Amino acid sequence: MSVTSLGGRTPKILIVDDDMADVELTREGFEATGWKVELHHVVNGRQCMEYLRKQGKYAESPTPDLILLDLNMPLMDGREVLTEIVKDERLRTLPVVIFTTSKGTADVVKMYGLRCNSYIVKPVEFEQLRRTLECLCNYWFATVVLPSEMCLQ
Amino acid sequence: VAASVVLTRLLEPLQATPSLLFTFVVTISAWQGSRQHAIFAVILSAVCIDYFFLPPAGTILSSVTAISCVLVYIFVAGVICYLEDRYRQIAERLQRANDELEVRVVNRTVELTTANTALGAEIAIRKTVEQALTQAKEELERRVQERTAELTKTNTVLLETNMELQQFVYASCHDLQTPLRAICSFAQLLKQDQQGKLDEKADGRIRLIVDGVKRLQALINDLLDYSKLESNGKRFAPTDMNAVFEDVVSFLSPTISEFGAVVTRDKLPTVLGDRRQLTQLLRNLIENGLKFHGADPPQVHVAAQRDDGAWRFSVRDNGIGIEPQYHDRIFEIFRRLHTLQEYPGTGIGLAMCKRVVTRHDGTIWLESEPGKGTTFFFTIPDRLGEKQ
Repeated sequence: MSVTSLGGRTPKILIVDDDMADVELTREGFEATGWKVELHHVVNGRQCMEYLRKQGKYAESPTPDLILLDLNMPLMDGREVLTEIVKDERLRTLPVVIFTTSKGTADVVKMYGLRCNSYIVKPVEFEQLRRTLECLCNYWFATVVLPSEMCLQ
Repeated sequence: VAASVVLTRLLEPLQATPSLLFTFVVTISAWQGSRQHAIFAVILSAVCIDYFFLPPAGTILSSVTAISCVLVYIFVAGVICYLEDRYRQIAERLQRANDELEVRVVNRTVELTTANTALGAEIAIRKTVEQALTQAKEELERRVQERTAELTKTNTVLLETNMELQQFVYASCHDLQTPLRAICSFAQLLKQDQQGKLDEKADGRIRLIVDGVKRLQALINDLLDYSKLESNGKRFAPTDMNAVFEDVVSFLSPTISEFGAVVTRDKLPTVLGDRRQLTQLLRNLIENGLKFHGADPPQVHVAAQRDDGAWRFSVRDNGIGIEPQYHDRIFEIFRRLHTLQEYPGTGIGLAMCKRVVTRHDGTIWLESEPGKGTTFFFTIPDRLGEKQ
């Protein structure tokens, strides 16, 4: 079963995560939800910013509907990425969901302080992961109105 | 007297009364000499007057006139002598008194000088002592300052080390969790993918992998909580332990009904503490009482008693009890007395309890009779001065 919303268009998600196993799991997880999503992947904050600003090899890459942002990454971590995005006039409307292992109080408070859209701790078990991602898709692609929909109209 | 005779003779023509000069002589004698001298001078001068000057000259007491003159003279001279003598006595007494006074003044002066010297010496000693004291005080102040600076530095270093350690534990836990998630989830995916293709043995092994990872996950989470206990601690506030108890019972209600347990309390006091941590403390202790039950349904009772400036709480159960040799060890981190199959858990609950109680300046201990039950006691200082 495949579900799509956004007027039939496939939602595009940018995963920012340096752990390949986690990315693979997330991909499997999305598959298991039955939602058809277009996943793009970068491995650190620097690549993420290049992708969003369509620099270098990302010149042709599509703007995502949603960003799944890990916090602990080499070169440029998720905290710096969110700070950059919020400062950037053209990027600040992009919904950012923190998707991380960390559940430190400081991180949670700081990320919401930077106006992240939600903060999710990666579940350990696959079934839980599937449910979490299903919930995420139902919310972001079937419940709320995204700024990306406005741009397309 | 002889000189007077001569002089009187020489001055005879000028003098009407020869006795005047003699009176003078007697006066001098009495003045200069003793009483005997004066009497002698009076008699001699009387004889001389009578002999030389009273007519008929050259005779003694030859006429009534002469006798009466001499008697008058002797009387007058005697009176003079007596007066002189009295005068001299008074003068002598005065002199003596004066001398005595002088001696006393001298003595007193000596005494005063001595006292003054002693006082001076004492003042000098006092000044020295005072100076020494001031010096000692300054030295002490300097040392206190030095020590304070040292302690402040040590404290800063310790705080930094503690922060680093917490950061380290936090980072380690985070880094450990990522691969764990991969192992757990992929093992589950493998099982799902190979549905029907794997035999029961392989299924069991995959389950063991998942169980192991879950357990490791739980341990890491507990370790993380344990390490964050200090840094996540809240400012102490008045906390109603009755409300804490109700929260805990409500949280544990599924377990309570599962075991058919009875959890009761006496009236509990309000203490100054970190509500979240006190909840965790009471929860861990009650949960232990429920978990380690014997054949009978668990009964847990919470009570509190005012005891020497602190509230002594007790959590009594009717469970399996704890052998005396383990009474201290069970508060160590990851210390377990039973296998996982007997009783699940990570072995961090009581270590956590001890840390919470220690953070509240209290102590925790237990009394237990194996097979009959255990009572955990902990104290929280009564900083609100509440009477119950």
